[in-house]
Amino acid sequence: MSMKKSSVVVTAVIIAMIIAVISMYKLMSVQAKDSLEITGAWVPLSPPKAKIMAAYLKIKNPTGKMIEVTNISSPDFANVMIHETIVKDGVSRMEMRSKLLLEPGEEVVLQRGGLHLMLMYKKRVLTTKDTVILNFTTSAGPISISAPVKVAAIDGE
Amino acid sequence: MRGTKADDVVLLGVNTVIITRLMNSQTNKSSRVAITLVIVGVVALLSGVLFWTVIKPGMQQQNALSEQGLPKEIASVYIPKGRPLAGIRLIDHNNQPFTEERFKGKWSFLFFGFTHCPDVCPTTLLVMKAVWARFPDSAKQAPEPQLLFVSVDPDRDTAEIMKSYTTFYHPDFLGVTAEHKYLDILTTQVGALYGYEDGEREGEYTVNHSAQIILIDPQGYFRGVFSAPMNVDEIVKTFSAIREYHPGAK
Repeated sequence: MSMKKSSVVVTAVIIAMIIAVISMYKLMSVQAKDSLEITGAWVPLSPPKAKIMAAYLKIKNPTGKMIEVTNISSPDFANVMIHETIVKDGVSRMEMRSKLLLEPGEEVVLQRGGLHLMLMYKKRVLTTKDTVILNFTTSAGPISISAPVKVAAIDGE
Repeated sequence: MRGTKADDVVLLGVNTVIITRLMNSQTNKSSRVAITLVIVGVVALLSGVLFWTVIKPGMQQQNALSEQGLPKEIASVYIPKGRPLAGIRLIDHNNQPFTEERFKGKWSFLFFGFTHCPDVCPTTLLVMKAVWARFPDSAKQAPEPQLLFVSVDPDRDTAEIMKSYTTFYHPDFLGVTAEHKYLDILTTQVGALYGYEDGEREGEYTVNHSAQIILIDPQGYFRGVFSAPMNVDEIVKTFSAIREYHPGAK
């Protein structure tokens, strides 16, 4: 009889713990999914005298609502712009995007030869020991990330 | 073409199913249907085999030479009827004059860009750096290749800035530029284009430019165009084939 009773108690405690863990996890994940997720950011090392650099990264909107990136800035550059390289009829040109709109669940990849951040007029020489702070202003609040400066290479080297 | 091979495999599978069904079938009607299906399947299979063993190799042989009689691997790049470049008046990043004489005895790759360009120009120069690393030793012998980064932004790109920019990607790469009237003499002869967004050349501006790489032969003739997007493997293979094919100098 007491065996049965204690096993009921143990089962109840286990169930309570499971519920607690699940709800905490859910709470945490809800908290984390309030705004954009920016990952894989990096800045290709460029010639010391080049005034303009690029940044590549992934932006994901894990929330259920539309989020707009309205401005990006960096303490290391005078200005940061969202640009897209477009090659049409053999001519390469750059198109500026004043903002970036992400639908719920959408992921936008900023990569070579496509959408990228144009980092205008660097304020100091950046080496592979540096990281570039990028501050995003979005409709879901501000986000700051740091993008390491890395040597860029293409296969075959 | 690749799809056809996969279809053959599927057909084989279908045939197995049909034969199994034929063996299992009890009624006359279903076995007649099954026999018909088997015949159709066998005919389809045989025609597939015929295509892959007899017709396809014949087609490939025909395709090995393009319409102009060029080897297929160079046909999309090589210009059989090249044009000699003339009146070239550029300045290189060591402040030395660069005329058409400096095309002679070398294979020249020309890429048009500007140093304020953060995406396409670095990417193309990195592609060419990888191409340079992949050239076999035979390709580095005379006439050796040279890469010219032609700045179409001479107002901002001084020799000093160009040297720093171009040699960052490879110590042998050479930056060249000129006043617009001289730049235009080069660009019109090789069909390259450039222009300033909204005609702007004050303050911050970007330059639109041809994304292709122009090939000049060791006789100083406009000889080829590598189109974007650039692929390291393709450039290495095509250039080796062009050296083999090109009459006069390899």
